[in-house]
Amino acid sequence: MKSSRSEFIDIRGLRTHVRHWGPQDAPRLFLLHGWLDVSAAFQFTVDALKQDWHVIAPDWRGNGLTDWAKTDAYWFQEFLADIEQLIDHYSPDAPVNLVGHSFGGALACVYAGVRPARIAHVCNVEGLGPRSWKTSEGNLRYAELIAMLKKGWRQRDYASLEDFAARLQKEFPAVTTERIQLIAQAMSRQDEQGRIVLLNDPAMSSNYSMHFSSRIDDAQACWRAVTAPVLMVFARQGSPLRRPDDMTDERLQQDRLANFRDCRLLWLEDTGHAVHLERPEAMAQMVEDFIPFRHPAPHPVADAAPATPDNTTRPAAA
Amino acid sequence: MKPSQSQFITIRGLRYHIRTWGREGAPKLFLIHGWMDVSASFQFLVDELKGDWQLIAPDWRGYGLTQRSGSDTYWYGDFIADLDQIFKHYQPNAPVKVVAHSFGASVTGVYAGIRPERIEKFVNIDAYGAKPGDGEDALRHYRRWIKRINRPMPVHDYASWEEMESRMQRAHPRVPAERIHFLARHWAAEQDGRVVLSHDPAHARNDGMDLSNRLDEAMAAWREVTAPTLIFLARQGGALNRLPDLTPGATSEDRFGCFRHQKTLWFEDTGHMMHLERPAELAPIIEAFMEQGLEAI
Repeated sequence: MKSSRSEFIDIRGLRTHVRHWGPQDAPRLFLLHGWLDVSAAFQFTVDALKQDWHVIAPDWRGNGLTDWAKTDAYWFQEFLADIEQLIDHYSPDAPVNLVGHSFGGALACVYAGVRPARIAHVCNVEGLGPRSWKTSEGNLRYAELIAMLKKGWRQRDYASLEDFAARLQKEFPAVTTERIQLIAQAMSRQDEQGRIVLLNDPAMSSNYSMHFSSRIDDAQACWRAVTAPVLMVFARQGSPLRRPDDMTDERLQQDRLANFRDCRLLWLEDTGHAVHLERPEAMAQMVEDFIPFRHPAPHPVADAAPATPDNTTRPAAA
Repeated sequence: MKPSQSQFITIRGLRYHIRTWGREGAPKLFLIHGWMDVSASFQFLVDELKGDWQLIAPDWRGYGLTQRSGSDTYWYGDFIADLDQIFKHYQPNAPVKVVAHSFGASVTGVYAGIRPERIEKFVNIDAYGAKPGDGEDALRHYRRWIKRINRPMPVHDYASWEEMESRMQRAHPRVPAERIHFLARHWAAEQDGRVVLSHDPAHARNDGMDLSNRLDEAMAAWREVTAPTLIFLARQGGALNRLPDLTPGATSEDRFGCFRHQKTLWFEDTGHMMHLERPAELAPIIEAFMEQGLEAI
């Protein structure tokens, strides 16, 4: 197992945990984990990489060893600003390679459109992006969210690490016990009473706020602005298949993939949603087949400057 | 001037300041302020109300005496959830009567469609809703927001109360000077010899609102509103001045036509701060509406 090291940096006032593998000066891969996942879950993918990359993987706000946000609702947009500042910190001048799983992959694709000049390659594994909700349905979801916020969130805990691992194993039956144990450890801590408490902010355990604040039409506009080559990877047995209205091959192509200028689609067999845990070797190989092992050259296409002038003025009430 | 009382309650982990006037136990009327404003702004409207009310007016998160969110960006959805919990705190078992101004009316209007059963009657003072926007606009807002977020927002301060008042008076020329004088002392506080605005400077970074307050969603919500809705629009107010921005794809008829039971009243020679400019005219209309419904208007 390749060893990782932890670094803590400040991102928008939150102490953010960033996990590194590999030599500092090697070509870089940024790995963005999914919803309620953690950077350490990429261990097996990193182990399977043939080249000696410098891998940089943050724990998102509210997850792993990163601070919780000072709020009870996590909005989708926040994470885009967090990526911006992560790249400001590690690669202010050179474009980067983003690999994201699930929520992390969906974010990577939107961010790549917001800041095209910063991105050399995007590999999105099982990150479908926003649901194709109608606005009226969005409002119904809003009602559910505010009802949940009223109840508040309860932190999940378990009597032992084995209990938590068993619970994870049930959810991911195809993942080996050894991997489940490592993930269980990375996602939890032991409290004073000896109970195993999840590290993630319980406010993240409902993703209503994220669903509500991420719109398919916004995502499509961002996808159209992506200039980097994009590799989309979907698992035949992955969770997007449980969203029939989105995931006919036709709708996938028409509503989503067709928005990218340069997009390849790969279907993976014999794996569920957690590709990085079930088939990390396949994931590593796809990434290395797609992203050349070298420092990315500056991107030929400059970012469009903001079209509207900075209108921060002295406020006068509205 | 009717005296107000201050209460502090916890809403979603934030210490929220709620200003109240009138008799506890009297019928409740909620007053919801706008962007860069504060609950005390309703003082003059309250002074003109004749009925036996308990008036309940929160300072929104990051305004007045309410705690700041601690984040660098404010999102529309957070205000919807705050409003829900404020109403629940004071009136859990019956729908509420609300008078709201500007941004406060924008939030209340959307909330009234999300939870129609919670709103009995709604007065919208000069809130027109968001600009029309599509995905391309969102992309532009994203770009602007993530660039500006690194820049600290300027803290607005003034050398003296007089300087601040004259600045406010310029922005709101129709508001009488003594009301400006009163309101300035609720918008700001003295700090190290300067007069400093109390609101969270992050409120001025409006990109979060542009990204999370969308016209099509608001209109979908408005169509669900069952409460009778009375709309006051100022001829020189926010709505009309912004009409060139606001009308493409959604005129005032398109917008306010979404409400099933509504009446729109236009006020001439009036600016956006109608509750400060014309409280004596608004108060009796509001009370007639609250007591007898839209038919009385």
